This record gives sequence, C-alpha cells and structure tokens, in this order.
Amino acid sequence: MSAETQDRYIETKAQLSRLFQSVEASLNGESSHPFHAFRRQAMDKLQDLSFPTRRDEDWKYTSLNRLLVNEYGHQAAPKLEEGQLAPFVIGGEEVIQLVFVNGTWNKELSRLSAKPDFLVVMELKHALADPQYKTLIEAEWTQWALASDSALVAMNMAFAQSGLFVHIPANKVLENPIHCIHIHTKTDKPQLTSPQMFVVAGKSSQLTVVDSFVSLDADAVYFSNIVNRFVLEPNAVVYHYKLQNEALEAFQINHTEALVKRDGNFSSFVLDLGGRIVRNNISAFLGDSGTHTNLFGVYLGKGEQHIDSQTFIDHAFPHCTSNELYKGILTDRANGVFNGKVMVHKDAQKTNAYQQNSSLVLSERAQMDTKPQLEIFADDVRCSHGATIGQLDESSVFYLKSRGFNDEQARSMLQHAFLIEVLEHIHLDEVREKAEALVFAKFDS
Amino acid sequence: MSDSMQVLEEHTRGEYKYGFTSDIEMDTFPKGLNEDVVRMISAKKNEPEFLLEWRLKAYRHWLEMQEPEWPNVRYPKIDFQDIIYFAAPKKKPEYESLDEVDPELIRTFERLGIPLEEQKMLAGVAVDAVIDSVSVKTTYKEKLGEMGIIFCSFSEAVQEHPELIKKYLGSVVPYTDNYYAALNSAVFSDGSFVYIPKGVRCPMELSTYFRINTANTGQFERTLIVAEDSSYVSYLEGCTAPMRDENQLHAAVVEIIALDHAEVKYSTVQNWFPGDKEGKGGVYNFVTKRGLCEGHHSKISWTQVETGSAITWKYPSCVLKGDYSIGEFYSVAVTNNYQQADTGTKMIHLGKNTRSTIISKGISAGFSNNSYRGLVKIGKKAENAHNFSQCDSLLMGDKCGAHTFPYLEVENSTARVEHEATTSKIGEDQLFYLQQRGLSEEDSINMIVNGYCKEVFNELPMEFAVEAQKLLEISLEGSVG
Repeated sequence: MSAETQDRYIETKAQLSRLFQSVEASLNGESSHPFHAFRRQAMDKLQDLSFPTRRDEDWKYTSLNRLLVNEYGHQAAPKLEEGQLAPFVIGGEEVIQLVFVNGTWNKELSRLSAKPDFLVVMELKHALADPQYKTLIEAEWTQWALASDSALVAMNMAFAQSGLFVHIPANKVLENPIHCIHIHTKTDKPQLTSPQMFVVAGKSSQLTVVDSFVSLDADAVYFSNIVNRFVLEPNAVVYHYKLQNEALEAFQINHTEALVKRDGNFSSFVLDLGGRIVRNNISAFLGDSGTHTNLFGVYLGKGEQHIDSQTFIDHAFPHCTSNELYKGILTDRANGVFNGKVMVHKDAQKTNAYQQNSSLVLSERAQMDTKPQLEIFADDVRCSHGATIGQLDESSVFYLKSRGFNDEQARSMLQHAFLIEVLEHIHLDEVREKAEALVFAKFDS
Repeated sequence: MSDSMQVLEEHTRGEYKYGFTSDIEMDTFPKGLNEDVVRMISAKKNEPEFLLEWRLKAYRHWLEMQEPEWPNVRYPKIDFQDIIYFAAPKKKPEYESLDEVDPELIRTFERLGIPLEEQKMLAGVAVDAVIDSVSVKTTYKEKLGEMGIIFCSFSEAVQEHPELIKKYLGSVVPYTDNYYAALNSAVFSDGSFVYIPKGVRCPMELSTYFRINTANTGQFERTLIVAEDSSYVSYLEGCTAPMRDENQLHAAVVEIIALDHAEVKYSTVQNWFPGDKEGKGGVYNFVTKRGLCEGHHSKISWTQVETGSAITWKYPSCVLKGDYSIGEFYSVAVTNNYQQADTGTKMIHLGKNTRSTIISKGISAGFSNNSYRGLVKIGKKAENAHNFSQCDSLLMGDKCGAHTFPYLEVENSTARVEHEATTSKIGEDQLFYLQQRGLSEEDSINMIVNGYCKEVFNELPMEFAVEAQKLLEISLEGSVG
C-alpha cells in the first residue's frame, strides 16, 4: 500500500470514528439498546481492520480511494410524497412494499397490507430485542458479521440505521415479492447509508425479495454500503433481485451472502445500471448436498462508471449444481470487472458448475477485466466456464440492415437481444418488465 | 478399492526412470552469494566489462526485491546462501571426434537416450549439450555457420559476438522484471545463444539438452534467440535430471526477439526430477520465458510438455508489439504425487491486428495441484486484436486439485477475446466403450489421455512428440479417475 493510500485510510477511519460518536450522541438514551451495543462492537472491529487496496488480489481492479475520500454524514431523511414514489413501484396492492429514505425506514410510505400473518417483517433492531428471534439473530447475524474480516461489512454494521429482518416459517410460500425501495436524495454532506437485510427461509418455504436502489436527484452523492444475508433451511427456495439504478455520482458496495442448506435453491439476480463506483460481492455457501444456485447479472456501464462484480460459489458438499451467467455492455469510458470464483472442495463429488461471462465493449476507451476462476479439489465433477469480450457481430448488423433497419436500430436491437438472455431468467413477470424497462431507459439516455 | 484404483496406484508408484548421477569432475565455487561471487563468475568466464556491470546491477536490484508469494504453490523457503552458484566440468577438452569425449559423459547421454552419434545421424537435429553450466559439445556448428546462423553457448557468444549480446540481453526480460529473473541476471552461468540472419530459414531443429548434475547446484541458464527479418527457427529444449534428495533450484531466463516476418518456435519437454512418492526432493523450476514480437507479421510459438519438477512455476509469454504479429501457447502440464504446477502464459497485445491462441491441458493425479494462470491483455492501441484461450483440466483421483486463474484485461473495443475452460475426469462411459472394444483398462486410459493432449502434441516436432508421449506414459500411464 502506498503511503498516501495508507494516510488516506487512517484519515477515513478517524472521520468514521467522529461520525460514529456524533450518531451515538444523538441516540437519546437508546445507547444501551442491544442493537447499539452490537454497533459499538462492530465499530471497534472496524478500527482493527484495514480497507482493501488494489494490492489485494480481489480488489486488483477496483480502488476505494475515490469512495473513501469523502466525508460522509448521517442526515435526517426528508419528507416525501407518495407521488414521488410512483416511478419506482412494482406491481399493485399485492406486493409488500418497504420504503427506505436515505437509509431510514419510512413507515408511512411502506405498504404492508399484503403481508400474510405467518410472515415476519420487522426492523432488525427490534428483532434483536425480541426474545423470540434474539438467539437466531445472534447466532446467524451478529456472530457471522463479527467473524467477517471485511472492513466494509464491519462498517455497515457500525452505521446500520434500522436493518430489516424477514422470516418465513416452514412450508409457507409467499407468491408475491417483498419489494424494498431504497430512495436517496441530495444532502448537504454525502450521505452514508448502510442497508442491511437478514432473511431466514424456513424448511420448504419460498420467498422473493426485490431490492430497488434509486435516487430522486440525479446529481446526489452518497454511499450505499449494503450487507445482506440469506439463510435457506432445507428445501427452501429464495429469489433475490437487486435492481440498482443509483445516481451516477453515487457509490454502492453490495455484500450479499447466502447459506444454502440441503436441497435448497437460491437465485440471485443483480442488475447494475447506475452508480459511479459499484462493487458486488455475491457469495453462496452450499452447506449441504442437493442444492442449486443461480447467479445472474446484467451491467450497463456508460460515462465514467466502474462496475465490479465478484461472485463466489463454495461447493463443499456433493451433488450440488450451480449456474452463473453475467452479461454486460460498456460504452464511453466505463470500466467493467468480473471475477467469478468457483471452489469445489475435496468431498464435493458430482458437482456440476457452469459459469459464463460475456461483455460487449463498444467504445474505444471502455475497459473490461475478467477473471473467471475455478479451484477444484474433487475429481468426479463437471465444471466449465467461458468468458468472451467483444463487439456486436458485424454480419448480424448487416443482416438487420438488409431487412430495413437503420444502423442505430440494428445495433440497439442486437444489444437488447444480448441482454435478454439474462433478463428472461427473472421469474416474476412484473419484476422482469420493470428490469427491462430500466435497461431500455438506460439505453436511450 | 476398485480395480481401476489399483491400476492407478501401481502406475503412479512408478519410479523416476532417469535417476542417476554421473561422476564427472566438477569445478565448483563455495556455497553462498555475494558481490564477490558475481565478480568471480564473470572473471571465470572472462566476460567484458559491460556484462559484469549488468550482473552487478542485477544483483544489487535483487537484494532489494521480495520473494514473490502469490503463486498457488507451497514450498519451504529457499536459502539462497546454501546454493553453489557455479559449477563447470573441470576438463574442457577440445574434441575432434566423439572418441575424445569423456566416456562417462557419453554414457550419461546414452542412458538419457540421446547418444550423440545417433543424434548426428538423425536428420536435422544439432545438439548443444549442456551438462550443468558449461556447454561441452556443439554439433552441426559448421554447417549452420555457412548459412550465417550462430548457435553456440552463451559464454562463447559473449566472447565472439559481444555486440549482439549487448544489444539484446535483457531487452525482453530486464533484470528488474522479477525476483528470479534478477537472480538469474546476476549469476547466470551459461546457456544458449541463437542468431538467425535476415531471410534465413534454419534447416534443422536446434536442440539443447540441459542437465542438472552437481549436488546443490542451482542452474541459472540464460537463453537468447534473435530472429532477424523473414527468418525461421525451431528450437527444442528438453531436460532430465538425476534423482536427488535435496531440492534444486532452477531459475532460467529465456528471451526471444522476432523481427519483421520472423517466426520462432520454441518447444520444451521438461522432465526434471519431480521428487519421490512422499513429495521429498525434486527440482524447483522457476523460469522466466518471454518472447517479443518486435516486428510486424512476426510469430512466436511456445509449446511445452511439463511432466517433471517438484514445483513448476513459469509463464512463457508473448509481447505482441508488431502489427499483425501472432503469439501461440500450447501446453500439457502433468502433475503426480506431490508435484505442484502453477503455469500458463501471458499474451500482451500491443500492436494492431495481433492474434494469440492459448491451448492448455492440465492433468493432475495423486496429491498434486495443477494451476493454470494466464493473462490476456489487450492494450489501448491494439486494434482488432483477437485471442482464443482454452484451458482444460483432467483430474485423476480425488486428492488432487485443478485450478484456473485466467485474467482477461481488455482496453480496446475492437478486441475479441474468448476464453473457455472445463474440468472433468475421464468419463466412465468412454472407458467402458474402449474396454468393450477389447482394450485393457490401462490402454484405454492411455488412449484417452493421449487424445486429450493431441492438440498440443501435434504442435511438437516429430522427435519430441515421441518423447513427450513416452514421458506422459511414465508419469501417468494407467491412472484412472
């Protein structure tokens, strides 16, 4: 690490420490709450950890310098009208809608009318104080977070505002999605938000969570530092969608982890459209045999965007399958990074893992760095990966032109088709339509 | 244990067939490394001032460098003060005919299966036999000399063609490049030098056999190949090493320069001592190999068959600087018992319309770990660059590992980069099919593995392809997944 970077990170930590103290001071007696006690533990942990630099193999292509140089604040959320929310809504009354404004849960704008009684949706803060869930959360969330050696996870825990806890009991199916809308607005100081979600899906249950990240002001600068964890009990099915359309000057770090138990089925879909620097760490730990994991991703980089997707699938048990497909288009001076790691441990026989990353690099100064990585210690496995980086096929463009489309139409049609291959894996129609609309709006901008 | 597993056990237990030591008197330096040793090596070889300066600069730079730790290999730290940095056969007679050569040396070659007489007669192979650090015998030199081709030991080249050495040494792999390249630059003992003049197509395969011989002697070979405009050369490098208990360090540097329309083909069959069944001993093979396609329409092709060494750590690379230049890498890497290999290539596309192909086949058996690590970089100005990479891994047994670390970095929008990789074992159905056609299990596996490696073996010159197949059989025959 260069001395300059080191100095900057020391300064960042000092600044975060000051921010923590000011947050603590405004707690009004809530400082003895178990949630805050945990925040303080996380803050102590953060002091011992160092932020990753480009010297770290996993951060080779992404620098946090630009992100950590800002002085962040925690400012009170502005009041929003329901009408301002309209463009971001998915579906109708049947969808459970949770709205977070600048990191704080806005109960008035949230809509829980569709929530069935068996489903638990509450603030993590309250769940931690609830004797019914306390043990579960301590075992699977707080202990897990404290065991992580990521400074960004510790930072999220230290600055968490409310957090979300979702629990679906065994043998229940939630047909309609839970939709979390994370709205940001322009603030005096860049806002630091730390969305967190802990989802426990009981045995043979099914659940869909959609996270939308949006901004009301196009020039807002803020940093969303996200941590999500999913625990899938045997035979549970969980779909997680992230539709990210942050302001173009905003930063986002997304740390999502799933623990999939026997015969569980986890699907993650990440759509990255906005943000100045975006980084995803998506990991699936396959904790028993018979599981299936899908990781899908679409990224569209324009201007000076930097979009980094790191995925990790840990095959520790036999008879598990995983399927990964990431596709993206980069134009202008955008940078794309993909690092897909598949680990197959000694005992994970009969693993079938597939991974594909394809990127279109459409302008002179756009850049794509790809590293599909396989680490395999078992012999009876089928693992394959493919990566391509290229342009639109000129003969396809020519074909479309010969059928009467102009050059622009032909190219945009091929780009749509390129991404549709991933988008069509979204299993709920209303979510897929929303995702497609967002992608096409980005194309046209 | 199934029958197939027993066959695997039997064959992977096969002893290293080239394990022996030849007793030729050696002229060795005391152990250890310091500036004086560097000066002594240089003085011993009667080197010009510029080379000594270069060695010293490299040595001083090396002192400031850190031993790299990023590769996916594990080994005890090397004590660089416990290595003899120079060993040369004491008697260096000038031979008129083979009869005058030390009979012990002839026997060594015979046991290696490369009798010089036969080599002479075998059409198109000139052998520059390197025993430890000094070239003892160079054949076909006269014949090549007539065409203006220089093929000699590095020390001879330093004496006879210092201008070429000065111009090209370190131009592809500078002494600052990496830890082991710096060490090699400081203490390299000998190696080979090839110069192909303009428009000349070298009529025969140039071949060098390396052997590590003296106990505790690190081998620091330096090979430099310069191909002038529109020339062609195919260079073969093959190695076997005697059985030893202590680890031996081999840190060679190979530099290739190809000018306009030149083509260089570099083939390696590497079979250094891999250590015994328990993973004891074996050679550390830390090599820096790099080719520079300096001119337009130039081509450098690396083909390697890696079956030996306790640890193989090398990335034969191509810097595609000239427009329309081509880089190729074909590799078969086999690891067995406790061997470790971290190998692959780097294709750096700088010029326009450059193309590269990577075909890598890894086979792991026993307790070994086999990694492919490759970089494909398309620079900003590399218009219309095209790369195709394919890395396949075959696993035999459930205690070995196969890893791929491909890095693709693309900075130009006109590039086309394709990468694919698979990992699998020998299919039960394939085995069953061959066996029901009357082949034994062992033959079936041989056939499948040979078929799996065919793409790479096809790139090898004839004599080498035969040797490579033999090596593969010794290392693996009968292994069953």
